[in-house]
Amino acid sequence: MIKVFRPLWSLDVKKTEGWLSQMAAKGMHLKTINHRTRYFVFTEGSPKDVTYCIGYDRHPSLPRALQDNGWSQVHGQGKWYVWANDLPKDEIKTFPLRGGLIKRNNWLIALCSGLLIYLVTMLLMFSIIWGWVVFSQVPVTVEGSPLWILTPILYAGAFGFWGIVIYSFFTLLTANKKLGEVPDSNKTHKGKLVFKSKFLWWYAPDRLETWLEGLDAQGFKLEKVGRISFGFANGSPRKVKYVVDYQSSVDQGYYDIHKENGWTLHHSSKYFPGYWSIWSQEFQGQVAPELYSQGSDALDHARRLLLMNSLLLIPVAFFLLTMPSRISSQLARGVSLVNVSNVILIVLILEFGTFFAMSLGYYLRTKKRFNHTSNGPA
Amino acid sequence: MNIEKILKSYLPMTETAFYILLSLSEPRHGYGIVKHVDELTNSRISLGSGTVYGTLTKMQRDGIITVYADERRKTIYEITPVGKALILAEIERIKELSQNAQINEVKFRD
Repeated sequence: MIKVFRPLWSLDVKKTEGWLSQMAAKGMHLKTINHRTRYFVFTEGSPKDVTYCIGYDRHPSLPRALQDNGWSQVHGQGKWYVWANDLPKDEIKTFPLRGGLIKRNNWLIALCSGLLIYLVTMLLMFSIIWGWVVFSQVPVTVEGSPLWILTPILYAGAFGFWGIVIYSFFTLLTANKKLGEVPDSNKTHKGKLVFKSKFLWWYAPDRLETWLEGLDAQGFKLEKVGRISFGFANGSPRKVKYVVDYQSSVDQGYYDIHKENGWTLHHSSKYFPGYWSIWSQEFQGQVAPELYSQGSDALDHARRLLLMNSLLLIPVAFFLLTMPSRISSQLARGVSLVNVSNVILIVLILEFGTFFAMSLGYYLRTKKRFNHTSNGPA
Repeated sequence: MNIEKILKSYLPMTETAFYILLSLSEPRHGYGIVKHVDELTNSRISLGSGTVYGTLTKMQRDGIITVYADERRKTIYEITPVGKALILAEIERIKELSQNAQINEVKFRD
C-alpha cells in the first residue's frame, strides 16, 4: 500500500485525474481517499491505462449506461466519488458530467472573492495609515509584542492563510474554465451591424423581448449582444419569438435542450444574481413558440429575482437609518453637507433602490400576465 | 435520498412530472423527452423545453434522475433506482384510480 499526501487535490480536479492515470500507468491503483488527512491510498498491481473521473454531487449515482460502458466506482465518500474506466479511450462512448463540481467551485470562488475583497480593503486602509504616519512626522509610540515569538508565528499564519486563498482563487478559476460548459454564442458576424443600447436590460427582460421582437419585425436581425449594446444586421422582416431567460445556475443540459428544440442562443452571461440567456426562434402562423409551456415557471423566476434583489434593500435601509446621525455630526463639526461621502451614499441608495424597483415592476407585470392567461376565456 | 421523503414530496405527481419520468423508461436526450411525451399523449401535452428542463433539474437535485454525456457530448437523462421506486408507486396509484373509474363510469352515463 502506498500513501501520497496531496492537500489541494480538489482545486483542479482534471489535474488530479491526470495524476491518477499516471499512477495507474505505473501499476499503482487508487484504493481510497482520506478526505480529512488528504492522503491518497494506492494498491500495487499491473500497469494499466485507466481514465479517472472525480465528481461531486448531492446524490452520487453511477448511471447504468456508464456501467455498461466500463465505468465503475473506485471510491465514494459523502458527495465525493471517483469513477474509473480501464477500456481503451476509443471504446469509451459515454462520459460523466461535471455540473455538481462546477457549482461547488463557483461557490468557493465566490467565497474567495469575498475574502480577497476584505484583504484588499484592509491592506489599503493600513497603507493609508502607515503613509500618513511616515510622512506627517507625528510622534509615534511603538508597543512591544507581549511574547516575541508571537509576531513571526502570526505573520507566518497570515501569509499562509492568504497565500492559500489567493492560490485557490486562481486555480479554481482555471479549473472551472477547463471543466466549463457554457457555449460561445457571440460568433463573429461578417458585414455591417447597426448598434442600439439598452441599459440594465436584465432587470426588465419582458420589455427586452418585446423590443427585440419589434425590431426583427422591421428587419433588424440580432447578431451581437453585450452588457449595454445590441448589434443588428439588416435583413428581411421576420416573425420571431424572443425569450430572455433567467437561471440561478446553468449546465450543459440547459443549452442542449433548448438548442435541440429549435432555439438559437444569442447571449449567455452572469448578471447578479444568476445567469441570463437570450434565445430566439423564428415561426410561421399565429402561435408563437414558448420556452415555458406553463406560465408559472416564468412567474417563479420573477419571484426569485425579486427576493434576491430585495436583499439590496438591506444596505439601503442601513444607509438611510444612519443618515440622520451622519448629517447631525457633520453639521456639528461644521463640515459642508455637500461632500464626497454623502454623494457616494446617495448614489448607492438611488442605484440599489432602482434595481429593486425594476425587479418589482417586472414581477408585477409577469404576475398580471400570468393571472390573465390562467383565468383565460371561460 | 430517503425514499419516504421523495414519495411524500412527489405523490400525487403532476401530469408534467409523471410523463417526463415515464418517458425515461430508457435514457433520453431532453429533446427526446419532449418528443416522446408529445407522442404518448397524442399532442395533448406539448411541453416547452424550459418547463422540461426545470422539472429535470429539480428531479436531479432530489436524486430521482441522473445525467451523463454521449459521444457527441450531449446531455442524456437516466432514471435512478429511487426514481424507479417513485414511478412504480405512482403507477399503482393511477391503476387504483383507473379501476374504480371504469367500474363506476356506467352509473354516470344516462
